[in-house]
Amino acid sequence: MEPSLENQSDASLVIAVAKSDQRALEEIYRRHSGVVYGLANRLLRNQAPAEEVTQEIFVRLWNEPSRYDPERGSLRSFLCAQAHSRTIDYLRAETARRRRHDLDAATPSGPRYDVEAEVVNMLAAETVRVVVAQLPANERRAIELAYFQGMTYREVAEFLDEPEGTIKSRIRNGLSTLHLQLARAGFTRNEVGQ
Amino acid sequence: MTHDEVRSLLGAYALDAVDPREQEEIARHVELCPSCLEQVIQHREVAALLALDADLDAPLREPSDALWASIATSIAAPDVAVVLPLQRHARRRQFVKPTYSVLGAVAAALLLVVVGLGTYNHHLSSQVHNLQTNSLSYQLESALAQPTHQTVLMRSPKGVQKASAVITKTGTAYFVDHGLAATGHNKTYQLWAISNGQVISLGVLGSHPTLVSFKVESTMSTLMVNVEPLGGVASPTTPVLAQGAIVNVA
Repeated sequence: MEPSLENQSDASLVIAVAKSDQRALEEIYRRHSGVVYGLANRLLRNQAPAEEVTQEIFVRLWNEPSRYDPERGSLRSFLCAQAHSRTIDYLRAETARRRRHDLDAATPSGPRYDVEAEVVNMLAAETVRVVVAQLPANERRAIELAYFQGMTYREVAEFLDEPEGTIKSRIRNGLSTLHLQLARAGFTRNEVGQ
Repeated sequence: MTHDEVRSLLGAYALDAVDPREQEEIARHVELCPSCLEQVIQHREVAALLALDADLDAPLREPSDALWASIATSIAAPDVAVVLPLQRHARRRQFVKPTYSVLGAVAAALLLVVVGLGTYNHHLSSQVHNLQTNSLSYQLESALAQPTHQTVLMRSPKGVQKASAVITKTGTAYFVDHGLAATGHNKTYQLWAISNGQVISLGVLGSHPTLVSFKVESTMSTLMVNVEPLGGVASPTTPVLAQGAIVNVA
């Protein structure tokens, strides 16, 4: 009888991946592909490249599991950071930027799937939503533009016609406030890195 | 950049919202500064949670059902899992057992390679030891253990070794970095081969490759690597940084 993977920690699953256990990667995919893909898709607004990024992230985890260090945060954080960085690379390439603009105009924005119901923790998503809504609007806007629009802080400053130092502060303060609020809301150390 | 200057940028850094030059500088600082590292970890945990929030921008969507199947296929065929060949016809070609019509020249070249392999294999084995937690390194170790494997030393035009390739008799090969600097944003290393007198792409290697698998065919005589725009190109557009000759082995 094969051992169940559902109750194993993410770190244990990564160790199993390092031993070429494909079922472990599948469990990691089941747990985290929704948020990884959702993040890539939110930035790219196009399913095909978002899936390419998602596939690249999970294949990379398979090939290089040692890149994940549990001492440096949760697996979800690791995968999201990888996905975000890769997606930003994609977005900042000129050809990709043109493709994105074309697709923005051509692709309807309505949702076709409800990934939250299947993949992510609904309570966590709701809590994050509430906490984000409580942020000062200017801090929330700066974070949105940087994280979800792929802008550098300089581009955000130019876009909002604000000093660069102001934008740096808004991003840093906003993230710190979110961290504090999420910790108060009961997220574990691994989930907010406290 | 001072500690305070880095500190002020850690939020933007955690969101990939700094320039490439700043990113490199901050990354170096963070590796040496525990308090900044902790701050980055915290910011990235928050950023990952933000991805759960469906109201910030576009709604979340789920990946297609076929995505996992595609990933499973990729990891089940590790020799093509990392390098993504740009020329479809090249991927379909089957590896053909080498011929020996130019045995004399091959033997001379092989002798040169063999002279350096004794100490070099020891160096490669040491590298493999450091990478044993990932499956690709195990595959490389297995390849090195095969007596028929071939090691191609890839040198810069000035003769400095930049990378190597370990090739098995089945054509499965492994690219091993020996000092290629990370490319900047929007750039990637790309691997090329000369095959039947033509330069063909073997795929992109990423911005900072360490160990990448790819496929070699009997018609290929030289491996080359250069830097190209992210995503790769069909034909080389920049000078070759390192190259090495493939010698058929029995």
